[in-house]
Amino acid sequence: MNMLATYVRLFAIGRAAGRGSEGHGLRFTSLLCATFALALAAAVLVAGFAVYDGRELRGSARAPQYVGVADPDRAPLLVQVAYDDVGGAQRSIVFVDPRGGGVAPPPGVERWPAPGEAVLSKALRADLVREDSLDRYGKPVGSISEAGLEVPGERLAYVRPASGLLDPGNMTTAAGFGADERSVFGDRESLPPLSAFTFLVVGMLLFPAAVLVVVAARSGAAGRDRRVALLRALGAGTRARVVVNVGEAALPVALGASAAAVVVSLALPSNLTVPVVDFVLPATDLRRWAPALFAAVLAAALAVPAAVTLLHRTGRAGHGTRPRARNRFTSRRMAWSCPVFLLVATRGPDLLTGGGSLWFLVYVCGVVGTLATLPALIAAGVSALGRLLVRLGNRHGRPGALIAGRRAVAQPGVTARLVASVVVAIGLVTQIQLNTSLLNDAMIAAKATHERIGDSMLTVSSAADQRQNRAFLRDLPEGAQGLALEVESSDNRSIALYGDCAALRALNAPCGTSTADPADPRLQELTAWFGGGAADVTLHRADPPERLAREAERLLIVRDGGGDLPVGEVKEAAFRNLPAPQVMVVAGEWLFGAAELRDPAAWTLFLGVIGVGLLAFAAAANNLGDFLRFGRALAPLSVLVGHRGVFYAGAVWAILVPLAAAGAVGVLVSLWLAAPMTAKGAVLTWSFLASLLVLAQILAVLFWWWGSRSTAAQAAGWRPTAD
Amino acid sequence: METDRIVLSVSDVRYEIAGRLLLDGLDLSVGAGESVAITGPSGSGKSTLLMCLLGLVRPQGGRIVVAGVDITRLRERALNRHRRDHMGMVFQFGELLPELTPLENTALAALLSGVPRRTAYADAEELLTTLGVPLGGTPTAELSGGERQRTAVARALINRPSLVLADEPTGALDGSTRDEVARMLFSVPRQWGCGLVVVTHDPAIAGRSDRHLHLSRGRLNDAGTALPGTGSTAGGAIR
Repeated sequence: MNMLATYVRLFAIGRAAGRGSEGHGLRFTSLLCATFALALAAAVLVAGFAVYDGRELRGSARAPQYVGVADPDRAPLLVQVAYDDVGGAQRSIVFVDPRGGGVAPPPGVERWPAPGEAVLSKALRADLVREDSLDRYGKPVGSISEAGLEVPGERLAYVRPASGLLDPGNMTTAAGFGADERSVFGDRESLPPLSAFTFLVVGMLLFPAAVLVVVAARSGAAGRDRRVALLRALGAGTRARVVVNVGEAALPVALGASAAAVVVSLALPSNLTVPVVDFVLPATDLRRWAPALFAAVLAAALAVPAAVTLLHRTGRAGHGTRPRARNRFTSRRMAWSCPVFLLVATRGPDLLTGGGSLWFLVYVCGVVGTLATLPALIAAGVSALGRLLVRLGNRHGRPGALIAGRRAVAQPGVTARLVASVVVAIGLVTQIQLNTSLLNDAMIAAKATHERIGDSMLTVSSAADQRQNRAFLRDLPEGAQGLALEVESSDNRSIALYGDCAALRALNAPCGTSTADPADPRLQELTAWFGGGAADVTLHRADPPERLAREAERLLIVRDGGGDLPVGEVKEAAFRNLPAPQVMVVAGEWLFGAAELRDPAAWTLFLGVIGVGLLAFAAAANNLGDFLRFGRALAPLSVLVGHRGVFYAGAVWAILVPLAAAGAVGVLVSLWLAAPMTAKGAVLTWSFLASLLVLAQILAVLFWWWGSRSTAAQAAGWRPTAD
Repeated sequence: METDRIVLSVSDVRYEIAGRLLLDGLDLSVGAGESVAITGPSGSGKSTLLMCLLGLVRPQGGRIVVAGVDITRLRERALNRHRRDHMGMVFQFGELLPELTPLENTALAALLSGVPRRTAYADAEELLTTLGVPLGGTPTAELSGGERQRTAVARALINRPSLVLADEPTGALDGSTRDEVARMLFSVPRQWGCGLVVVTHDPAIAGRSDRHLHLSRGRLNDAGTALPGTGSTAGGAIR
């Protein structure tokens, strides 16, 4: 009991010492924010595991139990997985045909749809409504509940083909739903794998949060280190010193962890939509993993005091007035290397024809070298700007500029660390975002094709017979014409199109046999994608369904006079008349691939901005601590002359300008470094860069205000000590 | 010595905090051109007295008149202005900004007081030259201890104060430097026509002053130092 009372007393001493210590406000806020950030980052990681676990569970529960049955007519269930382009992305359409009465519908579906009906997920229904094509797959009945979806926002449809459109030969026999392996259909392709998600969260959230923890733990370190050294000199053991340190950090850590716990709790009762990425968090999965979520928050709450305890130094001397020696951070050689590496990154790849691994090697070396040597260049720049500020301050009698300039010259590392942290963070996040969005050559070409000819040409593939194809062609919207597409398989250098007179006229061809107009952009793209780029295209007057029954592989739909086709109406006609049709623009499969990168890129943007924000916050808090120390040195003079404005003016040059400039420089350097990648098809969105720039400016103003007010308040509390 | 012009008059000042009576009806007066040293054991109230003279704390009773104005009755803004215009202070460790040159450190006090740039730098240069501080681009941190304290004195004088306070000004200096700085400091009242109050533990330093007072039990008592050449004590009553 005595020991317990002693530790309670030591804990109280730690709390009291913290309240009265230098820079208490900064330290308190930094520890609170660091704990909150770390706890939330840990919770996000656990939430990711929870969501992926839920996807496994529900994906397995709806996976068809495929069975081998000699006669498909005797199978309890027929299943065919198809895809359709909805909202610019490929979505799963599962055709089902229950044969026996004892087969339960898939999870999330209350009753089997009747022939010609479709059950849609809420998100897919909303997309189809936006395309004014709600009954594309059949009459929509009911909705797939969340129990039948891997994630609440998934796009999925179960379609029971109308009589006459069933294609048992192309469907797979199954006994029901529920298997060990997850279903292959759904939105699984558009969500990054768990490993990629983990990498993103660790790199963009946990790491910056950990940096913030270190900065917060070392904030106000001088006084705390002296206190620890004193305790040791008085004979206090390790445990006692730990208790004192924990006592000091306990309140901000508890508040930060509690705030994170509240945020986590908000996500449990009902689904929350994550902004920017538009992802719906499944509350059921989070509730199932609730103990782990709160354990992550608790682990963070324990990790921060541990960092506070472990990151102290003993025997450190008090502040001195002599400037610190310059170190490698400010090395001239490194500073001069930076432009060289920048040149390598931006121009080096141009010297290599083609692409390949050597191109990337040169580019990556240039980027890594630039980011590694940039801090030294920034330090040199800070020194130079400091000298300029001194001249300006002396010339115009501006105390704030004079003081900030002298400090920058004497200790460029302080400001350089702030600027470099933000610039390098923006550079790294931008590189990750670029890599995530990098399209391959085929995707780039597909996007270029779509930009040139839009929706003026569609391909339609299915296992339809002649009757069904004829019905489809009759059902096409007005102005749309169909031709059979046949590619000469021996050399891929000749393409034949078969259609009636109206279809041939739609391609500006006579009603007979002719060679296609080489100037027609539609036919140029057709040649590029189906004929290897050098094929001849010949047009013939013939019956397209008849050709499809023979050599032709698919239908080509074009419009009278060119122009975009009404894609939704064409698709509706296809699904009404053809079994499991696939309707796409030319090179559509590559466009799907490009579209699948949109979501990972959005996640990178979202987490990247948060990560840069955390790192910038940590860098600014570190800089603020240094500014507070400067404030203490200036406090006596400011009290004697009754002038607090010098702190606001000094903070402009010491905090606001460097942090604001860091955001601008970071974006500029990132743009430079991104040029070779964007030329190869990577996408760097302006909203991403703008977000980073705005974030830096907001933090600049926030920390300027905080630093000014803190040092002014500190000065107001200064008292001479004659004893 | 212009003792007929009183720059500091402390009358019946009483200050109590947390049940402890630190100043108990304290009186003190200092004339222009006069130096007064105050010694006393730790905890005797020297810091409190300095804070009262600077107007950083308000005593519960009594008056403190600096350059003819009772600062205990001033509001904060007026007090800041009066302090800036009439008081200077020299600290034990100088409290200079180490990265700035001596000229910049000295001029800074004038610039922050709103003095025009040319005047501020010209006055600073004159003061530093008179006090023997090298002018140049050397940061203050790289000066000797004596040069730093001379710079601190220059900064305290830049705004032509009526009263200069010094808080252990030689406490951080070694033997010969201490003597040199003390000699320079105690010449300031006569040279610049201001009053000087030095708080110190060092009796040898205190002995250089025109009057040496001892703070004990909340009151100032004569420590036995008579004014040279007069045979009498100067200034106001001492209890």
